[in-house]
Amino acid sequence: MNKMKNLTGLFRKKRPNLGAKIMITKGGRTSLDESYNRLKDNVLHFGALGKKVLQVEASIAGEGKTTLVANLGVSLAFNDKKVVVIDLDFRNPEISKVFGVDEAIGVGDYVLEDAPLEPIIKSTAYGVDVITRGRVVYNSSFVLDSKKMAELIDVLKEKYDFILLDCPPVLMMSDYMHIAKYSDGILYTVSANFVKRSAVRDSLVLLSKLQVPIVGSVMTGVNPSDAFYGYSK
Amino acid sequence: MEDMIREDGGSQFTLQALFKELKKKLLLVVAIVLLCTAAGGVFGAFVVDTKYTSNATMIVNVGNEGTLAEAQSLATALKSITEPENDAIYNSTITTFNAKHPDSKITLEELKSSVSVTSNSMLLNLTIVSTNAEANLILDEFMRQIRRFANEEVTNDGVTTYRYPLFAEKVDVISYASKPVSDAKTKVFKHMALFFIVGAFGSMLLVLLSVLLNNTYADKSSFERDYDIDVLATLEDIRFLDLEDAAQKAEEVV
Repeated sequence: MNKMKNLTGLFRKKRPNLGAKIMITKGGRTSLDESYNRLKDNVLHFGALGKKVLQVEASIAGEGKTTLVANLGVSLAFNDKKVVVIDLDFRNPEISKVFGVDEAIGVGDYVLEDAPLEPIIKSTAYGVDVITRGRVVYNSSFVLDSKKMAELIDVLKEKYDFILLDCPPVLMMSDYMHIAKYSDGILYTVSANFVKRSAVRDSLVLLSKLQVPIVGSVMTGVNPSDAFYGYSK
Repeated sequence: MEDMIREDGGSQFTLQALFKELKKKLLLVVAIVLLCTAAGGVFGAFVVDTKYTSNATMIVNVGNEGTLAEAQSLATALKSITEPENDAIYNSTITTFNAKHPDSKITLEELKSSVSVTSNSMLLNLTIVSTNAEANLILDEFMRQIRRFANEEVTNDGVTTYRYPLFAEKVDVISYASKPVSDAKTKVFKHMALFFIVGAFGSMLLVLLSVLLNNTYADKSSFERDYDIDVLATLEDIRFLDLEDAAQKAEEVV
């Protein structure tokens, strides 16, 4: 039966990499806008509990995690919240591309090169501040476990209402363990019709061993015919 | 934390999921069914040979002296003689028919599979279903050979007698082979109907298999069935969204 299931992979259409994009608009009424509004309200509730740092995780690459982080950040910014998105996916940093900012000078430079704080925080046209990876980081655990990293998060906590952490996939990197030290909750991304159930289970087992609560999940890539609650005219 | 994984989860197949998948793949199902039906039409029209059917009736006539039971047992015996295991009548039919119609190279096996004989009281009903357009002529020849067999004579010491006196002069033809009826028109529709059914069942089987073999989560409810984690939002696949329009709107706002 497992072999048969593997065979179905041959016929499964590979999800094209369309790249992360900002897709929501202020006052937008598309189903996507509504979904992000709903998610934003849940995150606002999370914030109301005094929590600020949200670690966004996924099992594997290509589940739409970066798109989720970026659009959630924009959605919170539309609500006049001060939001900073930090790109902690050191192997595949994409946040700079999504927000159209320069990748140079970021977390790597702050931790490894003692770069000052101001230049690493980049303002974007969407009202969201962004901290990119910056210089190439080969030893991610060294950066994530550093004092400077802890300092950075502490400083950002003072300045922002929400800190969104774009993390590498759980089943590919162990960075989630180091990042969890700074986060108040995990937002877990599961991609519909894409990630295997076994991968979801494995990654949730790993995440459940952390001392950080999983505040909820977001299902991405859903076929509209599978789940849509039509409401607005 | 690990209690978020439901022990009773993991069930992937539900009737609801099947119907949902059927609804989602309705276009595919309809396409497969239409394609199969069309293939059936082409198969029926161009691949399957046209068959010709012809019927005839013979009678075992025992005269005034004989009883009905006698006639019935003779008809049954005669039917046995025409069984495909017994080559005699078939062989002589082939030899004679092919000699009379050199263009028609009908084989013994072909004839055996195309002729069927049933007995009904004192009657023998003969049917031929053949790809040969002259099926009625073959059947007429077959009946002639039955009569020749029944009335066959042997000469011993200058005395001529019937070889099978029981049958002699008792087998007659009531109706010669009817004009062959071709299935050229019906065979196309017959195959279309057959392929339609195969297509319908096949496509539904495909959908069922796709549900059974799907090892991913398709929707929120299937995920929440397995884990005690709230799905805070479901985001549509961006392939279904008008990204250019959304991006344009976003730029307008910015």
